[in-house]
Amino acid sequence: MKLVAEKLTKRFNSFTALDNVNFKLEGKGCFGYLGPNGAGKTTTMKIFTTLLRPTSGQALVNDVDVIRNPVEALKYVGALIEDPEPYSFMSVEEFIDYAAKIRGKGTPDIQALKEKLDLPDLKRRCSKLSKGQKRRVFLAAILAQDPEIMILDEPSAGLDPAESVIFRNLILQFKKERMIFLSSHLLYEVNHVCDYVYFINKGRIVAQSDVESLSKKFVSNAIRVEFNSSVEEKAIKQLTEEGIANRYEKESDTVYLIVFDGKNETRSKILEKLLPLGVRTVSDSSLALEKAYLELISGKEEKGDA
Amino acid sequence: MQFTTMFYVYLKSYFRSKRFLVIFPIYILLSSLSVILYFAGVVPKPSDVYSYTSEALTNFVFATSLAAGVFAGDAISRDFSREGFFTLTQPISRARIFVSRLLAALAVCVIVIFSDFYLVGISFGYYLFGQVIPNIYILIGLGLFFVFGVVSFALLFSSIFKSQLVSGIVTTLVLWFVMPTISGILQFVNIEPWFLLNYAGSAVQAVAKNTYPPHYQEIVVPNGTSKITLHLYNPTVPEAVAIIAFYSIISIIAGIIIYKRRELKEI
Repeated sequence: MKLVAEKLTKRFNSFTALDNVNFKLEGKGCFGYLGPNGAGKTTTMKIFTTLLRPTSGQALVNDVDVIRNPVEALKYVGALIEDPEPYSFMSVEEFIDYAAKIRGKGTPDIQALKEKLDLPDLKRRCSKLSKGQKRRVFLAAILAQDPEIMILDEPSAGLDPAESVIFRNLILQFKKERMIFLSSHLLYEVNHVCDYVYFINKGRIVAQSDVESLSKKFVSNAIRVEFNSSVEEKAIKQLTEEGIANRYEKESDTVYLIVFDGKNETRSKILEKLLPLGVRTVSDSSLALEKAYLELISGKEEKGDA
Repeated sequence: MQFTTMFYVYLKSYFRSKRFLVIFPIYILLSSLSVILYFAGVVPKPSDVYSYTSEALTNFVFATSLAAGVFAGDAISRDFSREGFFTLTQPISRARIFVSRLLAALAVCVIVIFSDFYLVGISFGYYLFGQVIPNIYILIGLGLFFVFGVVSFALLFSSIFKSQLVSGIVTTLVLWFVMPTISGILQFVNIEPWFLLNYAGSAVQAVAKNTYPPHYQEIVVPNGTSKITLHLYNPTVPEAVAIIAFYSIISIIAGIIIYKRRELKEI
């Protein structure tokens, strides 16, 4: 299982959507592709699925060039790009069956897929489904095709929170057996499901890292503290005046983000001071990736491991 | 296997579409009109099987053009919608998809056209006169080939335009209005419209006639004090076949090239 981008460049007239992008994904697992809107995520995924042609460079799927040999390259890939539409004239069952048959996979176990993905009524026409249902049907169709590589472009975009949870759990299952290449702007989603992340901005890869070390770097020096009731800001400010905390951000009357040197003893000191004020919850900042991401896209580009 | 599966699915999409449910009965009704009027005593019995069959095929070119516009006009452009995110990411060459769509559109057009213009026309002619025209096989063969040419041409437009609606409308307009208008204008300037597909289609009706009309006729029409000379051309059968073949080959090749190069930028 391998996806390789070699000097991948895509221009739309004078606009450069991808600028000399290089990466190499190999083996099972989930690879995140993060970037703001217009960064080049979908363009990359469309090139790997032959929906777009690169201006220069190569996109290789298991060493097969997607432009020179699209049919062979796509044999390994199941793709969910943007907001796909299952054939409206087909029922759910027919669509999944068709997806399997055109790849020569024979009749799929649709009932098992229904249970796994919580699919709607199998006899229902695809045109009558909600957006979330269509996505699940589409995912079922991809699973029926049993590809070794899944390219998922913002898979949970536009879904309600419950559907997003279902999707994330599915990806956690899929990545045990397959390579997942997943683009998202939902950082907590990437943090949750991905093993490795590429940051892309303005068509260029600006950083890459495994999620664990990235989280450590940016998470360990901030905690979010939620109080039972509103607290006076000067009590928090005192932490910075005493030199225990570097700075703080007031998120609401009851929630503060406190940035410190990252040491465990400093963390303990801070909590010691705050507990008498009525602390409800303390968590490491879940904004860690967002922070890294924002720093990166604001121009502080990093090379190699972040 | 892959090809058959696709063909079957595309054909099914037509049979389940509202346009099929609307157009098919309308075509049946229109082609049966002469039969209905005959039994109602409104029109007299045609003089012979030739004139009857020829009359029955009067609107064949128009009917074929409309059917092709409606059914084949969006056969390819549908892939430039969100459906394309599925179709075009499958390991199937676009040439294969194109051909399977062409055959599905052809099949539905043949069903629509032949089940009324031909089936009603020929069977009722047989009922009235106890015979069919001797050229029946040429009539059917040429008719089928013409439908193939028109559907191929429609698929070319379908691969050019991104919007399903636009491609359907443009296809129908070109076949219904642009080509007939050019043919009409050329009658005044004595140029044989050998480069128009609808010109080739007129051979289908000509085959049904008792005597095949001459290749060229000059008709002088009085217009007040002056006269207008009309130059009427009728294609020979080989000429019609050549025109249809030319349109089909060029349309299919160009259509496949455009389709293969088409990118799904924004939808």
